Amino acid sequence: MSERDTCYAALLESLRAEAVRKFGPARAEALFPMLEVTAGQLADVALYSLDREEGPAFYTGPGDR
Amino acid sequence: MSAAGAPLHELTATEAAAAIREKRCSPLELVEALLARIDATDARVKAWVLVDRDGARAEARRAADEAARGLFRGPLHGVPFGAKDIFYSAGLPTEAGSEILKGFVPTYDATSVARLKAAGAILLGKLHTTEFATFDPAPTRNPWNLEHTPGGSSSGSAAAVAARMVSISLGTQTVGSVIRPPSYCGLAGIKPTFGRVSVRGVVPLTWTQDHVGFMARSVEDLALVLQVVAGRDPHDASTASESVPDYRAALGGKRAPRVGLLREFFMEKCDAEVARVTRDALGRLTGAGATIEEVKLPPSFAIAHAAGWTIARTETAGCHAELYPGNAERYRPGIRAIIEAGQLVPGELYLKALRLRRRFRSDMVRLLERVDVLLTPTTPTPAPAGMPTGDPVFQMPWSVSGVPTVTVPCGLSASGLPLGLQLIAPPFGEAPLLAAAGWCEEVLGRLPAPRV
Repeated sequence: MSERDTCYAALLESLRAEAVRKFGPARAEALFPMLEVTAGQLADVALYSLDREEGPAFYTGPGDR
Repeated sequence: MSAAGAPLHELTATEAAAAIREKRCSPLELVEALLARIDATDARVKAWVLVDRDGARAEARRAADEAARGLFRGPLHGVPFGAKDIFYSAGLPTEAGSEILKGFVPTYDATSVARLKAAGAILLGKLHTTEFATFDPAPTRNPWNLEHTPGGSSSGSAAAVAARMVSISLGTQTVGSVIRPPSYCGLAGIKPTFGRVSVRGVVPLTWTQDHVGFMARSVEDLALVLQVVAGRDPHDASTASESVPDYRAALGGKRAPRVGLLREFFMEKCDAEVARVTRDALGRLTGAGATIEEVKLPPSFAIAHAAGWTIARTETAGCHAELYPGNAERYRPGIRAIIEAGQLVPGELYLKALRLRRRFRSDMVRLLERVDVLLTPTTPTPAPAGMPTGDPVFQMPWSVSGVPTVTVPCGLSASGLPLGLQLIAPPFGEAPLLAAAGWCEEVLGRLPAPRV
C-alpha cells in the first residue's frame, strides 16, 4: 500500500468509529459515502508537505498579497 | 415599453437607472412591468420564494415622488433587485431554503441589501436557494430549458435574472454558487475578493469561505452593483479596509487583456462540447487582440480542493453547532451529511487546511502577476438535466483562495444551453477583472433572452 492508501485507510476507520460513537451505527452507515470522500480529502491535506513556519492566517492586509 | 421601445423587463440595471433619471420611465412602471413578467413566467421557472408586491410598490411610489422632485438617492434609484433567501431582509422572512428557519423574520437588512437600498434600489423579493446554500436542490428550473438545473446554490438568483424577472440579484458562494449558476443561465456573475463585500446579515455556511456576489445580464451592471456594496463594514470584521476604486470607470479602458489560459486540469476535465465552445471563444478573443498564453498551475493546486472541502465542511459544522442538536432529522440529506462529517474532522487537519490555503493563495498571486487575468471554462459541462445543481469543481480553487472571479457567457452548447468563461484576478483586482470581462463581453456578445 502507498503512504496515501495507508493514511486514507486509517482516517476512514477513525472517522467511521467516531461516527458510530457520535451518531450510532445506523447513521454512521448512512454517512459512509460522505466519510469516504472526507477521508480522501483529509489524507491529501495530511500528506502535503509545508514549512513549519507557514501559518494559517488568511488575508490580513495589502502586505499579505 | 421604455421610450426606446424595449420592454421594461428587458432593461439592464444601468439602462433602467438611466431611464428613470431621464424620466423615460418611472420606478412604479418598472416594478409593475417586472411583477407582470413574474406573473407570466415564474409558475414555470420557480425562482421566487417571496415577491414583496406591496413593499416594492410602496418603495417605487416613494422613488417616483423623489425623482419627480429631482431627488435621486444613488446610482440605482428606483431599480429593483432580488436577493437569495439567505440575505436578511428586515420584516421579510429569510428561511434559507430550510424548514428549520421557517418563519424567521430578521429585524435588520444584510449590509449588502442595506447598501443597495441606500443607493436607491428596491427589494422586489427573495429568491430560492438550496437548503442553507449547499446541495439539496431548490425547486427552480433553468429558463433556457426547464428540464435542466439553473445551478446552485444561488438557483433563484440566476434564473430570475435570466428570465427577465429582475435585472440584478444577490447571491453567495462558498464553493461555486455565484459563478456556476449565472454561467448555466447565460449571465455575467462576479465573486469578489474575500473581504471586499460584507457578509453581515447573510445566513452563514462558513466563516472564512462565504462570499457575497451578484449576477446580471451585463458586466456594466456587475460594476454598478459592486460600486455600491463594496467596502469596509464596521459590523463585519472579515471585511478589508482596502479602498474601493471606481469600477465603472475601469470599464472604459477597452484595452485587450493579457490572458493566462489554464489548460491543465480545466480543459482536461471539461466535456467535448465545452472544449469546442471555449476554443472557439479563445479564437475570437485572440482575433480581437487579446494576448493568450498558456500558464502552468503551481504544485499547491493539487491540494486546493481537498483544503477547500475540509475547511467548508468543518466550518459548516461550526456554523450549525447551535441549530443541529434537536434538528438533525429536519435537515435534508445533503446538508445533514456535510454537518455530520464536519463534526468529525480532526482539529489539526482543519488547521493544516487553513495553512495549505495560504500557501495556494500565495502561489496563485505570484502566477497572477504575469497576466491581467487567468481564464478557464466556467463549468465542465452545460447545466445538467434534472435536479442536481451541477459540479463546482472549477470554482473551488478561487473560493478557497479568496481571489476574485467573473463569469461571462461565451456561447451555446449544441443543445442550446449557455456556457461561460471564468476569469480570475489577484486579490482586490476587481477593477482590472471587470475591465477584462467587459472587453470579453464586447467581443463575444451577450446572449439573447431565453424563451420561457
